[in-house]
Amino acid sequence: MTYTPPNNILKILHSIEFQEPLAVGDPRYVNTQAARGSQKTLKRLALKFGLMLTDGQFFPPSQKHSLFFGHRGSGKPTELRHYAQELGKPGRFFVVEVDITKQLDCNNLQFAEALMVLARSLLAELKELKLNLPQDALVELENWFAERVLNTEEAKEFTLEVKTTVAAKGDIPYLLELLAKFTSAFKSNVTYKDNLRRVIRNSFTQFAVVFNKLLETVEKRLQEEGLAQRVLFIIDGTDKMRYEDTRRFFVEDAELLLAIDTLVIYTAPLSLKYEGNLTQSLDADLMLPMIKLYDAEGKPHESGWQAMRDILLKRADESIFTNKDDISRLVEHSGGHPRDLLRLLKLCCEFAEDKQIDTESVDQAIRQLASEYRCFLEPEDYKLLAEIDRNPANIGNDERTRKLLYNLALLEYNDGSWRRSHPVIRMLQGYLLAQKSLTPTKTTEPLDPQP
Amino acid sequence: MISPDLSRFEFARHLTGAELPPEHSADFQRLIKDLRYGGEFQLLIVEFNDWNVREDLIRYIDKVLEQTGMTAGRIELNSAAYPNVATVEAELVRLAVSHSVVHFIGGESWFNDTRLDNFNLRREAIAQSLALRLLLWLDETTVRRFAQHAPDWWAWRGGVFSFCVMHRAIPIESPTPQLGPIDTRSLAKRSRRISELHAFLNTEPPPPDEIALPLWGELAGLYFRLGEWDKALHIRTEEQLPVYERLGDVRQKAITLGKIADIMRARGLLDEALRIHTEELLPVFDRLGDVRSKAVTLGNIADIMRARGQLDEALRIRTEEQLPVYEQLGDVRSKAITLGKIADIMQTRGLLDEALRIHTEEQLPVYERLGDVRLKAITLGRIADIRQARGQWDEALRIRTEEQLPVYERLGDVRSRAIILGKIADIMEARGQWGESLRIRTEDELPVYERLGDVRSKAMTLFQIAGIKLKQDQPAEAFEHLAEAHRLVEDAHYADVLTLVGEEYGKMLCEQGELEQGLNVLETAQKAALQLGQSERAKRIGELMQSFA
Repeated sequence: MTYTPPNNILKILHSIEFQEPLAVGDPRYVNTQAARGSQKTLKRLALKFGLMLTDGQFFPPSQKHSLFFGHRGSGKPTELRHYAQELGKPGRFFVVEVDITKQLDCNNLQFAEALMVLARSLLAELKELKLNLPQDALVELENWFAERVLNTEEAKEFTLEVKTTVAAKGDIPYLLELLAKFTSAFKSNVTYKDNLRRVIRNSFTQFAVVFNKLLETVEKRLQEEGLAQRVLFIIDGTDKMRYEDTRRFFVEDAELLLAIDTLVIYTAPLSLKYEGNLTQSLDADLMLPMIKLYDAEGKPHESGWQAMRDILLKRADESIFTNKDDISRLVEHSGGHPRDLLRLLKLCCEFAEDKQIDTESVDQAIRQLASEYRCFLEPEDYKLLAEIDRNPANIGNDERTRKLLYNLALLEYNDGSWRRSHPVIRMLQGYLLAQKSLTPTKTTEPLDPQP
Repeated sequence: MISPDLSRFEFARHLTGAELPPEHSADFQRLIKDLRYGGEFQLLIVEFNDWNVREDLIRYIDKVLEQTGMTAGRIELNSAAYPNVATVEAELVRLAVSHSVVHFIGGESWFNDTRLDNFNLRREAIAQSLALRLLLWLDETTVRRFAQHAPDWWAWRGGVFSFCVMHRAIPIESPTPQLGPIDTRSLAKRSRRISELHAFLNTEPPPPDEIALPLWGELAGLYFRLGEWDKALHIRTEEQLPVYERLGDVRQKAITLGKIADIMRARGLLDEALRIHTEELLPVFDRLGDVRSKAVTLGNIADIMRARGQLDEALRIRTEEQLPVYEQLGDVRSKAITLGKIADIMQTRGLLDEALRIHTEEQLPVYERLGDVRLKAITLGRIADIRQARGQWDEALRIRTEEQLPVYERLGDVRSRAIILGKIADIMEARGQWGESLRIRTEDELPVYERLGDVRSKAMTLFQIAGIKLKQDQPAEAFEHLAEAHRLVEDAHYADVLTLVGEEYGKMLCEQGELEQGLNVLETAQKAALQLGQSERAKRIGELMQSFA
């Protein structure tokens, strides 16, 4: 059935969900490669993992853990899902997509549970694929569980629970069930969560060995069946962790992640890119650029406008707007940030008091979004933003700049080569005052500030 | 057509919003909209700076939510009752069984950094497991602290709503009275206007009488048109009448009494309306020598007589008492209007030729000469009514579509346009084109009345839809429409529609075996008919009751 976007304000309001990435085939998906200037992003990503997309040549590295950066809400998981489709073509990668937010509590996430989810997701995919593994392939992993986890004093509560509910069978379903118990214990915030983490941390070296062996066996079988050359994990949700957890996961525990000999792509928040203390072993130079509405000189970037319009009009029928110019105004004030565009649309639906979204509602929505940004900005932030707008080239990554990038007050374009403040911030009094106090030079202001 | 629940909810949302200060009205209405139509789990941040205002708002929110069967719970955050986030989470789980909204109160002091961190840790888990809209009531400082301390949590927010009280150093600017004869403002705009008027009229010190009185008048008018008659009556009797008395302005006092009589009449209290007109208004205008106002009052009396079926007396007043006054004054416009009223009486008596002659020969030329397109369109409508009564469908349809509709469209009078579309639907129905008639009523008429908050017209349209449904042999749907129409008019006491709807609805209830409820409905309809002087209808309903008793 052909998809038609909703043309009823209440239906639009009900259907807007910021956190949900679009699946492959979702009619609301819009190809944003030209708009982001990211036509080469997939090619670069594939190359990192040894695949030449143009002619299919394939020489994967033995191990690579890549971070895929981008602003929160810029569409990373949606893009990755589409990349996965390309990378997962027969003879390439056996892609295991892991949405960590669904399986774990991404607000309190450490490497231990992430690894358990990796193992669980791999086994689940193998079960789905009905790929026969050698008899002994799972024995070592089972043994690790039995000896290093279930037999420990610290995990006795967990063990008790497992013994009463999981029947030992020694196959994929058994391990899957065991891992499911594990992840659900982490997710449900049981009191022994920290104990389990400690157990895994203490026996991590052994886990890495058995898991690597399992991966090796799986890849061999995949190759024998002509299904894929390598396993590739795509982990989404690791960009949604709390700031401290992000640091611990990618900085403090990075060496533990790297002990797993596999290919992994993790989503990561943009601010982490500029931390400066990421280990060299983590591959950390790939990012999903923002959708550009203007170039660095302030000239409109047409494909960016078109893509943002398309994103909006896949969520709300054009007829819902009384004035078609308002569509462009919403796009303009989103700064090319898809989630903020949806947030603006949601606000429009909230403010609209008729069957359509009129100009007044659009004005109110823009003002409301601006006032929500005002909640966390400090006078010094405005000064810095005004400075950056005057000289948009990426000139620094101090703590304040990183914080502004983290909370989306500052948006980064073109793989990070230039930055601009969020357009709604430029309407705020604090910004206007800060801008006035700067020594006058040429302006690159494409937006008319509004009251 | 929007569902009855939705319509009720929208009406409650707007009217409740109207009771708030204007600066809170928009955020209140969008918050309520989000609670009702947004996702099942939402974390909504509600900012306030006055505890009393917060409590009022919570009461208002809960009241509106009740309209849709949503119940709100409350968690008073304090360290004794909730030592940690886990205890709050447990309470949320408990509340989620029977509530869809939870107000979090006391977060300013309860949320120290540790608790905020722990709450943040659990937010995804709570969101995934509970279908609850959480309203986190926080003061401005705490909102800022949260936004700065936990930016990831902030980015996760479902919405931010501000209900901070502005302590004004300078008085609000006086609104200009908006007292035009045709009000096409949407329900949302009207409720916002009500809120503005309240805010201005309740300032301390109160605005001077000469500014306040017309604004009270506008406010009462707004309430009247929204069917909020108690509120309208309260303003007329408590805010306007005593002031006019104090000022010794007998003329304005009489006009206000006339507005009170209008409320009585709309409620079907025709005797009381008549008493006010004859005993309280006429003597005043006599004494003042205000012949025009006296003539207008006589016209109102004639309207009541006609509604009661006292056609002779109504005709006598029009011809012998009203017309001569306008003739004497040389007021051709009012004379033509009065002649139109006489034609209406003729039409009720079946004297269609005479009615048609008055409309075409005595009214239309006057309005054309005056260039009054609205009155001309109304008169053409009367002519179309007569054509329709005679079965001249094509001519009636031509007048409606070619002569009336374009005028109302040009004037931007959406209500009159909807009424004309309803008349077109009547023609379709009479011709057996039930589907098209139904489409017009549901798609073109109803949404307008809903948007305007015109309860009476909406109930009438629902009644007409029920009629079509019965013809289409869909009694269950007809019953639903009748039930909704009855609920609307019963709440607002629109006697004329109540008797029409009540007769059909009560009958259906009795036929379905709901005897007690059905007989009650019929009894109310009979009372309304008696109030309106519709003795034949009252008798018919009485017989119906007997047949079921």
